[in-house]
Amino acid sequence: MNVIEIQGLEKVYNETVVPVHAIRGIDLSFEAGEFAAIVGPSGSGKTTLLNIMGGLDQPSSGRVMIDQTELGRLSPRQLIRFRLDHIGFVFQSYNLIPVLTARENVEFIMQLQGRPKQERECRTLELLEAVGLGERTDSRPSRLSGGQQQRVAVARALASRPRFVLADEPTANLDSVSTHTLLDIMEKLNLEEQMTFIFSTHDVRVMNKARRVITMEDGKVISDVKRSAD
Amino acid sequence: MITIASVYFAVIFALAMRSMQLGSYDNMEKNIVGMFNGYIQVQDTAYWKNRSINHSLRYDNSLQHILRSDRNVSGLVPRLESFALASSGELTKGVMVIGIDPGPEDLLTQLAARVNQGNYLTPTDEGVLLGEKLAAYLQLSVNDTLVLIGQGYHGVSAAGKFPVRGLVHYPNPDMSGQMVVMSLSQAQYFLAIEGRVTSIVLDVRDRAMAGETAASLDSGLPPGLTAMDWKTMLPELVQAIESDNASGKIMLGILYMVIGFGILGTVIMMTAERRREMGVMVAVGLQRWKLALITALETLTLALIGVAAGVVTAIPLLEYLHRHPVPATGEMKEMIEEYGMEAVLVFSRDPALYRDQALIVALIALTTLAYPVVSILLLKPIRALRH
Ligand SMILES: Nc1ncnc2c1ncn2[C@@H]1O[C@H](COP(=O)(O)OP(=O)(O)OP(=O)(O)O)[C@@H](O)[C@H]1O
Ligand SMILES: [Mg+2]
Repeated sequence: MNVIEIQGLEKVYNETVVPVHAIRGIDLSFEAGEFAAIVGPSGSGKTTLLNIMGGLDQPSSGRVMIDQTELGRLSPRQLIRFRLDHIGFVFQSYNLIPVLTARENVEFIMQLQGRPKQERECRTLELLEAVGLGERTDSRPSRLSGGQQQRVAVARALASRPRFVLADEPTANLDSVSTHTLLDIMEKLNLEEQMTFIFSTHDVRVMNKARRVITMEDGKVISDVKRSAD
Repeated sequence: MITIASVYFAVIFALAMRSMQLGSYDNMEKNIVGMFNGYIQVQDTAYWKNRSINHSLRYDNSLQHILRSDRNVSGLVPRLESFALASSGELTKGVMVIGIDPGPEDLLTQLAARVNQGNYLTPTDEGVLLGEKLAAYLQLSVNDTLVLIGQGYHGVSAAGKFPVRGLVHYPNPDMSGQMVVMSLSQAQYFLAIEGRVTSIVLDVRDRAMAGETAASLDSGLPPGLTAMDWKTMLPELVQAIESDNASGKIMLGILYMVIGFGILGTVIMMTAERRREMGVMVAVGLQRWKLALITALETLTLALIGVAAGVVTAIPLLEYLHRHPVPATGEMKEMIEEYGMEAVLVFSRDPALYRDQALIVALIALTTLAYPVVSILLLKPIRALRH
């Protein structure tokens, strides 16, 4: 069964003088456990697509179904709650709350969900260890490198036990070593926790790690290639 | 941090400004009213318009009894005032002669403390005290002799020689240049007006109640006598204080606006700085109203810390300024001197002042919270997340 189903998606930005047709008819679906990359030239609509899939932006037409729930039917409040429980996010940069430590940044999400303290603490440590930051749990984001910050962001994205994680160019600001580490961690979590990852990228090396590559151009999907895990 | 600082300075400024305003009104009132005029005076009904000893009143036991029976009256300070010509050698000058009861007078006006040279008067003293300027003009010093020529009761001529006992410092130059103070008995003897006075100043316990006390006394006095409170006697002073208070409030209003915009500025900055962070929080699932509430509480806490710190700093500051009045300059100086007082700014340290100003600044800070709250409720995560 599909985790995400996108049908007839269109997005026109009307706020500008000349309306921008950012997405021109996309049908896509993702299954549980996928490790998928969305690639394409700048302005092809990757961010727009991820934002709509994550319920951060509304489509002009078409619909997004996540586990039988149509995002468009949710009230703004329900949508926020839905994101909290079902979707993990990793943004390109500045993901973390500067005044909180790595541990608090991860735990915060579970606090919002109202999970018991015991569970929160266990899972936080488990996740920070999984992303290789078991030693840095009490550091503030400003004391962490860009790559380490992104790893905390990945840990946070998984903390709520979402159905999938959306990551818009998570490695764009990282050097190649950090990029590698982050990708390895994401891949490991994908395999070990069966966590679905959907990320956009410009980076060919990142793209090559994916088991499914969706190529966009001009608001459309021009190819969708699945590779079996090696 | 910057919010704390802006609230902190706001509280100090508001307190200092209002303290100065209230302090100077209070000082004016105390000086003019308390030190000389008194809060209530009892006079012959005709005396107020025509200040002649022919409109004097009999200061006897039954009148004293009536006046003392009011619970707000703590003391009686009789005075006999008249005009005379003073001379010494070739020099002459019109002066004001005032007979006083040295004990009660000192309690009310602290006159003894203002005697700079020589001694204060005794109740039956035959000598006089002179204002410093008058003494300088007549080239008299302590133990010299002053000659007074005047008109006594019902036109009898009055003349006398008086040893100078002491020189009095009056902040008001006019008073310093024309005051001749003698004991009541001596004045009555000089003016041939045994047993009479021109006015009785009442020392009151609660000066805020002076108006009510005067009214209730007035109705109980024998016919021909009246009791007036200071607001009736000194309408110009009341008006001056009121109009100055009005412009003071406008200044204060402007200060509040500056404060308000200052705090708003820091709140806007703080909100802008944290926009991205807030965008992330809403994106990952924090409800906007919760975020707004957290931010509001956070800012409010900072504001309260600022208010508390401001008050704590202001207390010793105002206490210091209260004890060491600052010399006034410019317009303020002129205005104060016009009322015959030393041109200093006395700061108030009334607890109500702290309460009011702290409350007002806290309220201003509270109003500025509308900005972050509204902007959070309208926050669009994808916008906030773009650079
Ligand atoms: N808020 C907006 N208002 C108007 N136009 C927008 C807005 N956001 C994006 N666009 C436009 O929509 C198109 C798709 O943008 P999008 O950001 O989705 O591309 P992208 O593939 O993520 O590009 P990049 O690789 O540079 O991140 C672009 O032409 C962009 O200019
Ligand atoms: Mg993009």
